[in-house]
Amino acid sequence: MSGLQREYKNLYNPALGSVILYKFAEGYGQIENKGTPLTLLYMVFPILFQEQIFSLLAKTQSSSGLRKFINKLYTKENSLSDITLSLPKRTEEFRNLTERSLRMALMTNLLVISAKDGVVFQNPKKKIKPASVKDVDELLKGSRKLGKWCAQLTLFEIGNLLGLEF
Amino acid sequence: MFFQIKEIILWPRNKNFQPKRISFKLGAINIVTGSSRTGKSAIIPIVDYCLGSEHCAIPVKTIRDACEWFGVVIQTQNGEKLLARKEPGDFQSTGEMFVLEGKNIQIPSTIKANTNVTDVKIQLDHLAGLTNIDFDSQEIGSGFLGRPSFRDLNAFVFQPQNIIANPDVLFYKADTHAHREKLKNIFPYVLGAVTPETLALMHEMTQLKKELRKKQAELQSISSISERWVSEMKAKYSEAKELGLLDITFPQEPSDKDVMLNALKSIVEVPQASIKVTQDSIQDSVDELAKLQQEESAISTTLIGLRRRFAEMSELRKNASSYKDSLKVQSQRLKVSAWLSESEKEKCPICGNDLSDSLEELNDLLSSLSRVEKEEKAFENISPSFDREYEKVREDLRSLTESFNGLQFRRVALEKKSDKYKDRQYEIARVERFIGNLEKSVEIYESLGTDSELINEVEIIKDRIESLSKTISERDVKSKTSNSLNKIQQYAGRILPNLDVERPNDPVVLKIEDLAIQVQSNNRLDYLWEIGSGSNWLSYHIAVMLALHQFFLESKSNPVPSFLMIDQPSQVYFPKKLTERSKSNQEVDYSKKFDDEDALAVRKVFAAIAEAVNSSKGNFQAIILDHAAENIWGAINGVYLVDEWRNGKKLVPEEWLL
Repeated sequence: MSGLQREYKNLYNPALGSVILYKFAEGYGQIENKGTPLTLLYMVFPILFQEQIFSLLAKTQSSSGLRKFINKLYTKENSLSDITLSLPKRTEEFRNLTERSLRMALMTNLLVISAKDGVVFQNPKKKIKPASVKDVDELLKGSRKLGKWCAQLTLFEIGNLLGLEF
Repeated sequence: MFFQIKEIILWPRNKNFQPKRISFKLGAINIVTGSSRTGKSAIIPIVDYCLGSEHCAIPVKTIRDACEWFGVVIQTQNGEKLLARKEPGDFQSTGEMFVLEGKNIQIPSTIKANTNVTDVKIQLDHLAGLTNIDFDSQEIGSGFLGRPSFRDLNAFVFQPQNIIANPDVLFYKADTHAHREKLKNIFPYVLGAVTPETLALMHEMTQLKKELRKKQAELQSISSISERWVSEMKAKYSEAKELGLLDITFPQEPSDKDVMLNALKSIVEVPQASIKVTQDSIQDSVDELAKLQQEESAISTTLIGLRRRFAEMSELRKNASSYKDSLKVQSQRLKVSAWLSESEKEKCPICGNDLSDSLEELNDLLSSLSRVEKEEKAFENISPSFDREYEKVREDLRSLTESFNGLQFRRVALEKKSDKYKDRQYEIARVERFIGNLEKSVEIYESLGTDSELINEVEIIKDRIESLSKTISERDVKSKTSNSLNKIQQYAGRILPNLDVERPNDPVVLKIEDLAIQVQSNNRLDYLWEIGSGSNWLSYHIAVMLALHQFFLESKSNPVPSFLMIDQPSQVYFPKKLTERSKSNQEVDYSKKFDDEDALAVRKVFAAIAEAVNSSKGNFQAIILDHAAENIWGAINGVYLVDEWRNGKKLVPEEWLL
């Protein structure tokens, strides 16, 4: 297995994915203890697994919010305005990983689903230790941050910012 | 751009009162009428402030003392947007803002900042689909040549009291140098004469010219090195003869450059002596080689990413329905519910269990998701602007490919060198050094041999520059600008005969260089300030502003907001009545009959605006703030009375001030 293949397998595995979704829901629930809309979970991997977006996200303060973060993509310095436009396509590409990760998160009780409301809750009894690998830890922190930002806006506003409809 | 004012909202400092909401009708001519000092003239500054103005021009004292936040609800194709901004207190402005978006937003009774003015301005630029390429293609660095911004477009939507009948200034805020210069620069873009594509090509042209200068300088330096090299080689040839590396068959003086070179190359290429290669020298080469391979691999990964991004952008450009001057992309739906319902029939897509166990739960989930999807349908299309990204990625691809080729060249050379270490053996130190030097010199010569490649590259760049200069000729931009202006002038010419103007049939000219109107008479063009009478000034302002909007509306992707706010258009007609009021210290009764010429002239102004609004079929909105009462404009079709502020009724309720 080549290095690249190994890296691909490490990154695109549902076990890591389930923890990433757990962290997203944890961040989301931080604001008013809200359940995370299932639809939003499909946005997590396309955002986090895009190199330029992720490195910008990692550099953006948690207190900034999604609006400020998206505005950063438009600056001359970053020049990433086109990135959000490819999100729907990427969401489709990551659909399989999202669903496998979600399944694993539900099976391991990291997440609990409320089918009637179409939302998931992070299970507070499950504690995830900080990852020993720095890159993974950053990924988890980024996911939590993204969840928190999304909770501050309505789905309509998130859709408007990302240029898509849920 | 469909962008109209739905509401203006004032939040009082006194929390016992509810916010004051002033609602406007979309696609209509909205009138706020009232006496002096009731707050009518504060409406434009309030809207401007909420749309991100640099300073707060809302009058101090009464209004600013009573209000804590000002807000405006905008109706766009992407739903409603509430943009609220805090009263700046002792400062000129504050960056604290609150934004709320939704299909139908609920106005909060209290406000807490959730964003700032810089971010709001970026969002508005994005909403308008304004290109993010600047006009500074020559890289002068002038602030006036920055990218067009939403703030620049306010020149076309506000006509406050000091502008509407101003003979010297036609556009809002164009009385300051900075705004004037910026407006002049972006005008051809707003008119569609300069497209983002043209701007991108202009930038490419500058880059190419730079590249050309660099390559020409390289070519020049190679030619001079070439001459020096020939003399050096002559010396080396003699030395080689002395060392016996060239035998007797070689002439003492080579007949030409090629003979000399071939002789010297034969010394380098044929193994001469046993090798003395130390461990260190091999290690250095190996290390360098590994480093180069690493760099090569990193660049290659970046190149793959860039190529993918470039392909995606090209695809977006291809698929986007291209209107006149910018892109519109159909918004894309995720439809998670559809994904889930199309998953394996016998297994739950979420928990993976047999459906018999969880069918009911899945149905619940699907119906809740469909509900969300139905509720959240936000907009029809978006105006993406990634012109700058497109150019940047193209340039990055070009330069990175060049670096990549350079690295490959170095790696291959190094690999060869390592091989040569193994193969060649030098015994005599002097010979070794000599051959080493000779090898370098031969390498230089070989790079000189690539000058034909360089000449070729220079030719390619020259060709591209030539072809670009044909595409982006200044004459072409000028002719397109002039075509657009002709259209606008024609529209204005049709409106003028319906207004109170002395020369209704004389053609009107909109001069971008001066941001001014000229009126043509036999052999000369008269500036507005050369023509007397406030009624003329007012009429030309009205006609040109309406004509501009008519032109903007014809292009679906024009970035200018589709509303026009006019403050006190009747001011040039009613000083007489106002004087009566100041003498008697009483309200003027505008409801009394106004069948004189002045009243008729004011009615004409309202009628002309109404005609423009009505013919737009809901796509254009006018808001007029005026003393003139309903008897002047009441019978005009499409007019909507927003509010009447007389007899103590004002923008700010009296009780807020107690």
